[in-house]
Amino acid sequence: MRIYRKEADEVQLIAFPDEHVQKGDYFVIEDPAQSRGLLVQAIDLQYANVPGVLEDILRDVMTDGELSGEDVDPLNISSQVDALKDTRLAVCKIRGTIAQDGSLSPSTSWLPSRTASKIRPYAVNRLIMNGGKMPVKLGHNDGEPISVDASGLDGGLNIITGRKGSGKSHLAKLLLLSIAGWGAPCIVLDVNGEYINLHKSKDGRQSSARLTVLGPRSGLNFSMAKLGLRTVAGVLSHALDLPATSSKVFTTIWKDLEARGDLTLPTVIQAVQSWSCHDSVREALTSRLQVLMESGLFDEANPLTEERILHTIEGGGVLVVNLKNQSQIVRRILVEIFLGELTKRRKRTCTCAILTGMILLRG
Amino acid sequence: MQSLRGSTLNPRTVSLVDMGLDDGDSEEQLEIGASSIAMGLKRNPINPLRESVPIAACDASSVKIGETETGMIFAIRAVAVWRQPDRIAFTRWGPLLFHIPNSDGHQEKYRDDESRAFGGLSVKTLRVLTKLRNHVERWVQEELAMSVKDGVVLFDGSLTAGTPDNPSSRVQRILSTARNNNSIVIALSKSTQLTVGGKNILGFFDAERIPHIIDITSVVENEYPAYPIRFLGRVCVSKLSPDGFLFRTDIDRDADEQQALVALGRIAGTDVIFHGYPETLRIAHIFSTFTANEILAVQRFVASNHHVSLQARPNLRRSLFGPFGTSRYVA
Repeated sequence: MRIYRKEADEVQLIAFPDEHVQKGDYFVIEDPAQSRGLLVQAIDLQYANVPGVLEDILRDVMTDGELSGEDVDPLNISSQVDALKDTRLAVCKIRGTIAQDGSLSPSTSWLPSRTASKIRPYAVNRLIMNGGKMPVKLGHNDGEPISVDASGLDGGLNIITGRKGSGKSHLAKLLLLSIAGWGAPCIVLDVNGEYINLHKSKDGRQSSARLTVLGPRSGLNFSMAKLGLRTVAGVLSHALDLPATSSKVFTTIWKDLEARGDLTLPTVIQAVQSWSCHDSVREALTSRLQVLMESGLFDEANPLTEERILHTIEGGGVLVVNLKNQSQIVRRILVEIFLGELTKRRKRTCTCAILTGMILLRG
Repeated sequence: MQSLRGSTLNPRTVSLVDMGLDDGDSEEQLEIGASSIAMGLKRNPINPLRESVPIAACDASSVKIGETETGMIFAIRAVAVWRQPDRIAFTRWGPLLFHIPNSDGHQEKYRDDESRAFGGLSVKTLRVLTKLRNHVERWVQEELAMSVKDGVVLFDGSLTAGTPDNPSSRVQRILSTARNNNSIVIALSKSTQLTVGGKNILGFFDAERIPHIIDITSVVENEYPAYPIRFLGRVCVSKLSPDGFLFRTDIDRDADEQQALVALGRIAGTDVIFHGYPETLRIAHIFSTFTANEILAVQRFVASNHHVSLQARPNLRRSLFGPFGTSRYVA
């Protein structure tokens, strides 16, 4: 194989017919001069755009019908012609850089030598950080146990992708229970309601996981004052598309009510009705605040406090927010609320445990 | 080519536009006197004859593969095509590779100002290449002349011979073999340098719509000495279909006018005529032509089998003149 070109985070490799390449395969492009290798994964296979191939094919087509013949090719150059026709282009995504010691880093912005580099297949199980400080057992591959280091998942965005039925949910649940077992606080935004029985096994036995399931009108209530201006404004803007002009007016109203110690959703709605502002602003605010009211997420009398959430998830607890059968709007509002609250918490907290949390967005 | 081991090859670039050497259509320019045309040459209509006769055609082409330290590598290929009642068969020979050295110790034979005159090829290289290609093509023509009976054998080019690159004895032998098999040889040229008053002769007769043939042998011969150039065929201009182009058509001299008309009628009636050009000959040309992919494959073959390293030298013209630095004559 040879490097053809690199564009952004993609590398195109020329693969000859005798070189086995499949979509999904990993390769490492080792540059001896730089003592490192670029780890790439084939995401697409195409025919190499060799000049004259179309003419060759058109000419070959002529022999499919009434035209037949014989090639006297003493040097067997036709085999080279066919090899060129079958040459493929593997479009690969750059996944990272493998250092000389075998460690993987996310660096993708360097160029390996086109002429001196060697390209070889890379076994995908080498990417799995077997063992580690906090091993999470995933199963077996070819008889060998496979585990990942839970501490390696920390601090970054981890995405599980795969086709339908390939085991994404199963893997996610396995990871969730494992890292909860390691004491990490976990929050799950469960779109399909498939995590609500996570603490029970197939045969009905309970696992040791501390699971709390809440949902709209089922223990999951918030108060405006407890959420704070930033979170509520974020919900109105990002989840409900409140225009910026109206958002400024809302901020003014909020501060006014907050100063008067009368900050609840009904009082906010009332204040908006009587506020001196443009009709369109009033309408924009009223309609969105009504959506919040009807969502069933706000109960000033019995709100879910931050302390209660923390108590639920501390030391390896799992809070499952059941979003099954909820509308898109409610889901978006809840995602925005949780992101806002977690952001607030991270800003306040000076030190973090190794595993600070796991949010699963399923769906 | 064994001596190339370990050397370097500067491969030619391949593109769909600038592709290759001529394949033997060249002929010398000949000005025919206008008075000859004024004499009024006879136009004979060609009537398509639906008689199924064997029609065979052949063609050869050559292409430069690259430059070595000591010369150039060329590839030659030849094709023979037979049209039969129920099918069309072909045999293709090649690519055959040749390394033509720059020097054979007889450089004083060639003028310095002629070097690199022909698309980057020296006169000597061009002559050697032409000789080789002609040799291969004539060999295939001999095979056809021997194998086709009671039919028509089509060549690409003309039946003009007599140069060292194209000895007349060989062409005569081919024509004789064909005659012995009761076949007639007809050569079609896709282009001609025959002119009248500076205007290409094909332009004088293009207006006529019906298939026809005009014998201009007497006119042409008057302009040439008897030797060394010999017109082994009768030089004609023909149009094989109403919508077709005119082509210079050389027909075996031994065939009389009537036989020639019958042969052309059989071609017009048996073969598919594509813009005035017989399909059998067209297929021969298509199959003998090298595509860019094939040139790359040959370069690859040379590099791997003869342990030659490919080192593309920068194209000086492109470096200096950018997109204006191409020559359509560069091989």
